[in-house]
Amino acid sequence: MSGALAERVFAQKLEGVGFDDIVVTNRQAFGMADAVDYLLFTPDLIELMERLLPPEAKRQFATSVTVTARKPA
Amino acid sequence: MTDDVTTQTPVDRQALRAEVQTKYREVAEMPDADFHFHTGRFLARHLGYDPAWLEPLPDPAVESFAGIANPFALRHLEAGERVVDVGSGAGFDTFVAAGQVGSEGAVVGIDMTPEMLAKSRRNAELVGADNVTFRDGYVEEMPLDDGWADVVISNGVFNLCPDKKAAFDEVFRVLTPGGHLQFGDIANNNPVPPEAMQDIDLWTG
Repeated sequence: MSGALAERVFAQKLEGVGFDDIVVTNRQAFGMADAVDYLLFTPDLIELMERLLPPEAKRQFATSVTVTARKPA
Repeated sequence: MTDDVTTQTPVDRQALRAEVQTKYREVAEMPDADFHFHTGRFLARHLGYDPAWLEPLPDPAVESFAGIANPFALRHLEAGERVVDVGSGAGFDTFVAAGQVGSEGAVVGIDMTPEMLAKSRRNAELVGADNVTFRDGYVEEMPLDDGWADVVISNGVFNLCPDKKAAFDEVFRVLTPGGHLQFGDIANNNPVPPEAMQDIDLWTG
């Protein structure tokens, strides 16, 4: 989870290597209640997040996204 | 604070890869274990995979799926396309792609975890997917020629790459001009503190 990028940084990185037509969509909010269902979040991490995150961040601290981009023709 | 555009690796790449392999080895070898996370058919339905692609696949080809989103949601693959599935795991997304591109297309799954590769190759025989091969490799060093692929897909992989630029550079290299990248992943809503960037447990978690 520490390696996840912000949405705008995903787009910046892709643009930086030469991609165009970058679309970030299908956003699904991730809060603590969702995180427990996914491999990316270990019990230790969830326990740490429960302790450290402020209440508002626990409701949504990340977003699952679908990204498309195109290598210019 | 982390520089958004840096290409420096904030963690030990080899240690991170070893940790990721350990985690995914468990999913490959014990798909029925009592994990705290969802896997398999339930997760695929939850993420909106088309039942027409999901239901025909046998359980061993689906049970180790642990993706984060649906890379086919925005663009259906076209018949005859050549596809690379980066971080293919036990092959679930690879087999969905293989069904979409058909017998005139080809799909290469690339993964770094030996147990996942072995399982994906067994699954290819089980599924009878003649247009699929699986290769050992890393996102940043794919065993493919320049411009081979029409499409690169992945699911929950790039967040585990310490050097995003190197990973995206490599995807760019293997794509043909006009080719598409389509992937699902997780995005942070808040900046990651520097100390968290150096903690491998927080990368794989």
